[in-house]
Amino acid sequence: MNTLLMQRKSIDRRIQRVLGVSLLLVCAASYLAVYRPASLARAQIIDDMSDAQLQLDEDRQRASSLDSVRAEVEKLERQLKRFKPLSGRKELPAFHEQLSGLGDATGIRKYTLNQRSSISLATCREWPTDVTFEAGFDDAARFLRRLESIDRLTRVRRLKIDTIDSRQGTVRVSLSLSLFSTEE
Amino acid sequence: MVEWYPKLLRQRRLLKLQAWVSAAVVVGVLIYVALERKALGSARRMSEVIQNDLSSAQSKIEQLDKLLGLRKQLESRRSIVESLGLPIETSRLLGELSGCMGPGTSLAMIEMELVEREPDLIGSADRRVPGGSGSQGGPKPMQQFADIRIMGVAPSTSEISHFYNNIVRRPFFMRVSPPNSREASDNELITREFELTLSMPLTSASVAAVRRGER
Repeated sequence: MNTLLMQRKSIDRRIQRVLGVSLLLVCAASYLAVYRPASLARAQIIDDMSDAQLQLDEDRQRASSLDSVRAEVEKLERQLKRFKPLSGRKELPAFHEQLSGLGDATGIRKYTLNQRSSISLATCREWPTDVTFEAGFDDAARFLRRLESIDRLTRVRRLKIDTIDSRQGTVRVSLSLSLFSTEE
Repeated sequence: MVEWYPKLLRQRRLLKLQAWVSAAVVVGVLIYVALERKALGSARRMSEVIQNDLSSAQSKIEQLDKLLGLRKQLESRRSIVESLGLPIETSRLLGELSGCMGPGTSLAMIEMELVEREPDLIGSADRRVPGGSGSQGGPKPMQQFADIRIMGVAPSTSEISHFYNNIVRRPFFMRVSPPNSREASDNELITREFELTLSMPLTSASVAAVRRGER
C-alpha cells in the first residue's frame, strides 16, 4: 500500500513539474512570439500614423488654398485672353518673315524694314523694327489693319503718316513696331 | 491510513488547481493573441486610411504646385502687358480721326508717339519711350499715353471747329489743344491749314485719371 502511494505521489509531482514547466514555456513563448513583436509593430504603426497625420494636416492646410489659387488662375487667364500672346525668342525669324510678307500687299511701294538691336526690359525682351513705305491712304490703312492682326504681343511705338501727293492721296508711312518676347 | 489519505487528497487538489491555472493561462494567452491581432489589424486599416488621405492630399499639393507655377507665369505676363499699356489699333485711330472730319477737311500729317508721364504730373515734361527703354525703374509708376499731332487742311475755320468739337466729344481723347490755323492757298483756292495735338491714355491708371476728369 505504501509503495502504491509513493508511486502515485511521484507521478503527481512529475505531472506538476511538467505543467509548471509548460506554463513557463507558454508564458515565455507568448512574450517572445506574440507580445513583444506585436507591441513593437503597434508602436511602429502608431509612430507612422502620427507622422502621417502631421503630414496630412500640413498638406490639407496647404491644399485648402487650391480652390482660391485655381480661381485666381482662371481669372488671370480670362484677363489675359484679351491680349495677344508673348512670343518666344525662337519665333523671331517667323515674325520677321510675317513682316516682310506684309510688304507684298498691293499698293505698297518702297517698303523697307530696319531691325534694331533688342532691349532687355525688366520682365521681357523688346525687339524694335522700323518700317517705312509709301501707299495710297486706303492701302496704308489696310496695311496697318494687317499689321494689327498679327497674333503676337506687339506695340506701335511711333507712327507718322505724311501726305506725299494730296491729289492722288498717297502717303509716306513710317512706324516703329516692337515685338515682345520672353527672355528664354 | 489516517495520515496519508488527506495528504493524497491535498496533493490531488493542488494538481487540479495547477491544471486549471495552466489551462486559464493558455486560454488567456490565446485570447490576448486574438485581441492583439484584431488591434493590429484595425491599426493597420487606420494607417491605410490615413495613407490614402495623405496620397490624395499630396496629389492636391502637386496640383497646387502646378497651379502656383502657372499663376506665376500668368502674373509675369500680366505685369508685362500692364507695363506696356493698352495697344493702340492705329487703323481704328485713323478711322476715328476720319470720322471726326467734316466734308472738305483732309489730313496732311498724323504723328503718334508713345510717352510716359508720372501720374501726378500729367501735362508736365514727358519721357519718351524709344524702344521702351523709359519703362524701367523710376521712383513712381509711370503711365503711358499716346501723344498725337495732326496737321490738316480745311476750307474754313467752321470745318476746323467741327473737327475739333468732334474730337473733344470722343471720350478716349484727352488734352486736345485748340487748333492753330493759318490761311493757305492751293491752286488759287483759299484754304486753312491747321494743327492740333491730343493725347490718349493707355494704362488703366491713366484711363482712370481721364474718367476722374483730368482731361
